[in-house]
Amino acid sequence: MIALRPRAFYFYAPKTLDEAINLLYTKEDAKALAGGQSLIPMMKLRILNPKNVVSLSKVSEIQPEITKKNDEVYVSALTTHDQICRSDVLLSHFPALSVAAKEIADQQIRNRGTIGGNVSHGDPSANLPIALLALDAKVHTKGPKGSRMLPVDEFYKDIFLTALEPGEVVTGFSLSVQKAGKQAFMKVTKTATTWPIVSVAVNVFLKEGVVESARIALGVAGPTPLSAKKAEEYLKGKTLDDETILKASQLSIEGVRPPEDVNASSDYRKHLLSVLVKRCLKQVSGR
Amino acid sequence: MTTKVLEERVTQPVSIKINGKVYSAEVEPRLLLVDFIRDVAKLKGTHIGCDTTSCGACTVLVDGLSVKSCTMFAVEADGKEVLTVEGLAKDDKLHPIQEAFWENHALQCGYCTPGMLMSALFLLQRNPNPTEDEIKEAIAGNICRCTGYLNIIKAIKQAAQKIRSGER
Amino acid sequence: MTEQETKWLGKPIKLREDLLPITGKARYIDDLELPNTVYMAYTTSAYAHAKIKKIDPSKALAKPGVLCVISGEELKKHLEPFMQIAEPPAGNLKDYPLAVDKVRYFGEPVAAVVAEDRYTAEDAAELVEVEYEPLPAVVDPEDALKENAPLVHEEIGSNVVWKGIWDLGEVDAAFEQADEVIRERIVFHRYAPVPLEPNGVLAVYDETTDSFIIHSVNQMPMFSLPLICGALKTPPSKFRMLNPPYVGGAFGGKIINYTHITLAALLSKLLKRPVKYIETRSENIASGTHNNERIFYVELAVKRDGKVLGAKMRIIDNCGAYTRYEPAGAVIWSQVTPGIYAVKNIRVEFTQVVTNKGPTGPVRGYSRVQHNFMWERVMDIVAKRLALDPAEVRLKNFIPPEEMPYRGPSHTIYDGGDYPGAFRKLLDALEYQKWRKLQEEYRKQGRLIGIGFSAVIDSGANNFAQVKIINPNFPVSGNSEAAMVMIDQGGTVVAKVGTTDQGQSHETTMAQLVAEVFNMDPSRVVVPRGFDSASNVWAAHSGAYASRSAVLAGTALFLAAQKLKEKVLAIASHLLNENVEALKVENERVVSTKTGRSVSFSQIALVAWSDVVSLPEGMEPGLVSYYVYKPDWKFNKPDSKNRLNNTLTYSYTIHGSVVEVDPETFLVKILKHVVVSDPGVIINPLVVEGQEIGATMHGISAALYESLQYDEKGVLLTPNFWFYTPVGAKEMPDVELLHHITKSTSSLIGVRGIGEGGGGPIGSITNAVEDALEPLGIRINFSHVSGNKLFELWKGLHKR
Repeated sequence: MIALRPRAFYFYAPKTLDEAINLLYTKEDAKALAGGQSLIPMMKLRILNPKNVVSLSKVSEIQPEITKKNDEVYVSALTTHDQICRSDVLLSHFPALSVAAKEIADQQIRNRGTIGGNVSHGDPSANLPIALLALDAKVHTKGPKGSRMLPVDEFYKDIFLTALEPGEVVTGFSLSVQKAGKQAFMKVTKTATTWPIVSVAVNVFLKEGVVESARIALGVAGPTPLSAKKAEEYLKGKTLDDETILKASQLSIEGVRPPEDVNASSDYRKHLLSVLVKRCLKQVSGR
Repeated sequence: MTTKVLEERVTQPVSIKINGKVYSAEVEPRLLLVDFIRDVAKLKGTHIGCDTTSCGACTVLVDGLSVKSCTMFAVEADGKEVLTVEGLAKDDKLHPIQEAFWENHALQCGYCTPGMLMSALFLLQRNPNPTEDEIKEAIAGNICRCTGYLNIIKAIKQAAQKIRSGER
Repeated sequence: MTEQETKWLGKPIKLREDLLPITGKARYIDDLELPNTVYMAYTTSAYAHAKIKKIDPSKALAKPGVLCVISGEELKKHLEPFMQIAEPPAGNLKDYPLAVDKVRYFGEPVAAVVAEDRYTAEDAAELVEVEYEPLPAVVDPEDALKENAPLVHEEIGSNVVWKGIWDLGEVDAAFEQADEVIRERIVFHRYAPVPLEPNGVLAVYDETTDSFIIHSVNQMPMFSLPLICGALKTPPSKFRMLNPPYVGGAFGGKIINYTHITLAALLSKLLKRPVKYIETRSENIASGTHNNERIFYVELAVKRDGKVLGAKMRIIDNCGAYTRYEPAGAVIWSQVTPGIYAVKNIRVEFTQVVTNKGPTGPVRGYSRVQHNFMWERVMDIVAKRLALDPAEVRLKNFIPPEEMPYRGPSHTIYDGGDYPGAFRKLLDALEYQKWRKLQEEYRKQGRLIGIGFSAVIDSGANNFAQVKIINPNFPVSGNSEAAMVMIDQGGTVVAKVGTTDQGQSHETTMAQLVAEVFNMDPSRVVVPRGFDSASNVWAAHSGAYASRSAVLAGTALFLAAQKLKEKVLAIASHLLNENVEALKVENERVVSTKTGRSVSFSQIALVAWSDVVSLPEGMEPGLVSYYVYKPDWKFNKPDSKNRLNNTLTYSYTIHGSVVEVDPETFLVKILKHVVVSDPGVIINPLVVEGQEIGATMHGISAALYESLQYDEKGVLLTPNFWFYTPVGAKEMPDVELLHHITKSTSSLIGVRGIGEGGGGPIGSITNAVEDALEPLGIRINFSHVSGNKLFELWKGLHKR
């Protein structure tokens, strides 16, 4: 079926979070709509056909917000990609997130797309989750059972499947300045605005040239955003030089089985991932 | 495949201000904003060129932000202000961006042009002196199949200069 | 035309037709609104090859607002299959607007629904239930030739559409004299023109006259009309064909859309409502026209100094599931048989096959981009094999300017040109020597840069007689275009041609031509937009395709304007009582150079139209002249060796690319791209340069970004813009464009059709990439380069 317009649905625009949660929980086959840049394209192609669409745009509790309080930066769910990449606070502390947002698709999509929507969609090829993973961000949610907070890697279960339970929505993200080391985000795409072939984010704490801790996140490497744990472990206590960087990049793809599609074979993705890890580590090491 | 289709046609009222004029109608929630603009407001300048939010031919400004109107429902634009290509010229006087596109032959078939103009407008409202890279980034979400983009980039540069030198 | 300084030709006059699109007031096909219009949508096949067991429309019909659902089986009751070019057995191929008996490609329309609005139409299309019995698919053209290949069309007995042989010059002797024979297999990939506006049609059946009013975006509506008439069993007199004032690009992708037109027309007659169909992008990518995929087995006989003595080619062309404009593509490459090179001894064995892929058609550079690419790749291969500079090999083989006009081995006439001069200009602008030195330096640093050339010659204004190579009885030949120039009752100069502008700026261009003849301000020449067979001038070949408009319409218009000018002078001479020799035409007046007395166009018009007794004795009233131009082709029809002059003019472009290949990611970046082009006489440089850059963009996009990929089951893996990725503003490199102008010896004003472009960048980029990868030993014998492909090749070379 080649469609351009979605199937019919019921539309709600609640003004409070509890209203939204209630609608999502009680209405049959309901989906939350934020900026729509992930959901609406799927609906237009009739790949996703929710009977009930609950727009979160008017929900007062999650309106766009980027606030720094002591060592924590909170980004609310409806903050757009454009707002994220223009935020001085985020650029100075979490440049990986800033760059990841800046490199999403195009200006029009960045003007509407939100971090909450992007992450809730559960797409392992999206930019933001990779940066959030490398930054050890926390995902805040609220549902019928109440509020909770999850680390990013627990939020992603499988491809397009998140930990969100029925009626639960992402309300925001918190990032800790203490978890913000030297960061880099890179991706490879076919054309600038099409889906990434692979992406990588690194976040490294260096003390006098020695790695205290490292986070390496891989995008389009599996059904969910992945952490290159072996490489992260390996780098602890090492200096970042050509040899260690190369070794880390090789370790980061060990056991990884990236998807295969028309743009890239699994092997090519693996290869690109290791190259990007190498280049990201090189960038943070100042080489 | 379960085809859960709504049995009855559900509609709700929307009011959208387009180029300063309010258009009100009873619409299905699934009505795309681009279809509202074209088929309800009868403003045909905004075009549809794809089905994956890729080509940008449908770009308009919604509350000042450039948006692909094919990836927004009209009900989401309820109460908002939309600017389309028809709203650029003032009393028969072309906007400097339109002038610049014309002077630089920044179009051939013209189908991508309204979307390009709106993306260019958004850029210049935010960044009056963009670099060539910034211009390319601003129109990265607008596909052109005729010109090869070079004249479009030239036109936007020239428009930026015109606007800076006070032509509007 | 004499060499005198022209007033309007060659001037970069602002394009008046650009105003409406920039104000959003241009009217395209989907902007047309008629009361009571209903909307057509397709249910399409997700299988490449399958029997249609059952179509159940009941759920669709149950939806309120749905008027009808029609399938291929029902269509057979109303329609004849579309006329075929090929003779039987290939000509027995049955082609209808919907699949009949089985589906033959991914995305083929299986059923059509009509509903009161677009949304309901899409709902209904989704609700039609089709039961398929999948069949094995054949997607590779060489597989299609094998013994037990699945047959796409059983009724033709095999998958072969057409096979032809050209044996030109003394091929065997050439190979005997060779120092070396170079053998290669070269593959040209499949892509699509994807104009930003997809196909569309608004068909209106007029009950009162039992006739049709068709609004469509077909590039050659009167040429397509017989196909529609044959299918609908209705004569042409019952059709009024219109194109809207603006069409959003075509590039050859809006010619075989007569399938939609035919179906919409039929439905409008059955339903007594105007029927509108607007193609979605996914439909356009899957079924909207592809270019021909082609495999070349080439053998070149060469001397040690790089001179090419002869060539043998075995070519297999994949035209997809239906032959709509095909097998014309199987012969059209012969417009550029030797490429731009002085090779006279060429043997070609050409086979075209059907497969379970989308139908091909006259995409920009139709059948010639493939051929040009083959030549440009082999020239580099010759250079490498003989350890010569690829620039030198080309210079050694170019047809020399002294031999112009040049009769080629298949009796093409290359209409003037200085290929070596243009090439040297390119080498200069590209800074060739500098980049060669840099290449060496960079290689030491581990950087991979490469330089590649492509010298392509492409055609303008085709001779339809070329299809007689395929079918001697096919009643089409030559080409023609009609023009009309009028000075109306108000004294306004009005000009009209039968072309169908899709963005080529015909309005201003034609106005410039007329202004040149009448020595008047072009902005005062009215050139109405759109096409209307009821009120236009047209010839059966009318349209905008094959880069014919400037050449054919331009010539027809020029001659029509000249004719009218003669009448204007005759009337003025009569009114002023002065000799014609003393009169000159300027600024819409006729002035006597002797006495200074003058008479205006308005005054002349009044006499010519109304005050007719005041006309010279015996002169017909009216101030309008028509001209239908038919070129003389010298070798009009194919001879027994398939030779003919099958295109009137040529433009040639020399491309030079400098690329860098990232040795880790294998991604390709264009560092520099230069084009030297000979468009012949330029009417409006803004238009010509715009076309040249646009064609360059298409070539770059085809080489690096656009590739239609199918899996072995024939499922299209690149069905939309997420996967089929046209080049965007961030990828398009800066292009330096230079001209090296010589006049065409074949066209009246000396213009060359420049819209095709020849696919130059495809050769220059692939050549440059192979050049860059020389240290890695990777060979590029294909037309589309991707990081993935390069990685796989590199991996293959490094397997332990």
